[in-house]
Amino acid sequence: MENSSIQAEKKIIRNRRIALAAVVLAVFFIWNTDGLFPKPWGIPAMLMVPLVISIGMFEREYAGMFFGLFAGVLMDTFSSQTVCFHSIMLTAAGYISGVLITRLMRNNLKTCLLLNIVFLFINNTLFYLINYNSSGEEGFAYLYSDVYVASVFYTMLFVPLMYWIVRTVYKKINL
Amino acid sequence: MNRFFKSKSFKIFIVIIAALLLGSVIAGITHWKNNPLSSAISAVTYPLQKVSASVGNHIDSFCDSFRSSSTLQKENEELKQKIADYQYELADYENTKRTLKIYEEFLGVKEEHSDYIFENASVLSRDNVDAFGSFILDKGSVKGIEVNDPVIFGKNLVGIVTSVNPTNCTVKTLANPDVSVAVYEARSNEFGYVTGFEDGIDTTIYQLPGLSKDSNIASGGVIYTTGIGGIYPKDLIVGTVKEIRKSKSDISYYGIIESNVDFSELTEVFVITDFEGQGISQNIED
Repeated sequence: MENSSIQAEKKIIRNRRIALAAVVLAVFFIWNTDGLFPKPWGIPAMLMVPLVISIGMFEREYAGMFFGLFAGVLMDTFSSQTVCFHSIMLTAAGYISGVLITRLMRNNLKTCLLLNIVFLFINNTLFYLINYNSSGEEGFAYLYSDVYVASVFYTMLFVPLMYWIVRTVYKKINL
Repeated sequence: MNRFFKSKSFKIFIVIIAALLLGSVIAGITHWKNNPLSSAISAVTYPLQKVSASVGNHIDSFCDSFRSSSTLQKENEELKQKIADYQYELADYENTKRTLKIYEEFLGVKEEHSDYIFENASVLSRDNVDAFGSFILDKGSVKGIEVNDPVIFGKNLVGIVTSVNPTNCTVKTLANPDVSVAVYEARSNEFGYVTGFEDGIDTTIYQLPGLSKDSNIASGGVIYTTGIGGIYPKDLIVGTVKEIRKSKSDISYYGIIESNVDFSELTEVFVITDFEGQGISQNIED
């Protein structure tokens, strides 16, 4: 009897993670399809970051880490800049958000907004420093303020939506 | 805290991060721009990429049709429908005309340079995180495309292949300051190089730095590749001189070069996979 309930629990978790993987793929392709997702004044929204952080918050560190890796590899595949930057950053985002929710913080939208703004700043600053500032050219400074900092605030608009999507999947496919 | 650092999840996390960092370092040392995981993922997601690109290509024509129809909403339904139909037909005609023009220009290049070997490729997606208009093409190493292959649209140079997967490749445009091209100006026959602006959001504008006060390069001059370096073939069009400005940092001048192609509108390009003299200077260095 106990064995069958464990089996049922595993099945539910597996189904939920398949659904979340489908959400990651869907969001990625909506974001990456040319002209489908708005880029006002050329500012990109880093949609995968709030999605991975939300998954980490609900699924905790193990799943958060692997979903982060999956989303990061998808982004790196379509990136012209660095080989593993997004993989490393999103794996860390998924893992750290999971750990913080397990040990320190509460799982709610305020926490999600806080984690996102901090992580987006770190992610975009590192991306700028590695890809543009490392060349030593001064002219790239505008990029940081006009594109990558602006991208943090633009992405923050979509954090509640990503959190709501992941929470809905979590609640619909749960024990 | 100590228990956290000894936890299984933390150890797995460290192993994954270390593996990814190692991959980055190896890629950096070997100038190999892709990791095996990315290559595998790109092969698996190839059909989805094609769907994504197809959707992207249809969005423009759909939006055009919608916008035009909205301006005619006050007219009667029948007329509106007819106009919409005509617009679809016109869009189709324009697409066909544009494709024909591309192939005509391509044929011209092919006839002029029989040594070129081309691969036709479609734009799958654009790198949303890059500020200089890099894009992904739907052909890769399976079709013989390699890193440093030039990418053209008609007779115009668009950019260079910077990384290759089996089924796709990434192109950095001339607007990217990482890319520089040895060029000459047709009228004055002066030599120089063209590269992107670090502070220029416009991806169709580049600079021709290092001009002296006595330079004969003037507005309207056409800039061509020299072929020096063995990466780009000779006599591809890079752009037209828009104006000459004085440099803020020294006594030199620089030219503002405008591309004849809007990279954000590109849907089809050609990759030159081989030409006479390709990689000659690299081979000498080796």
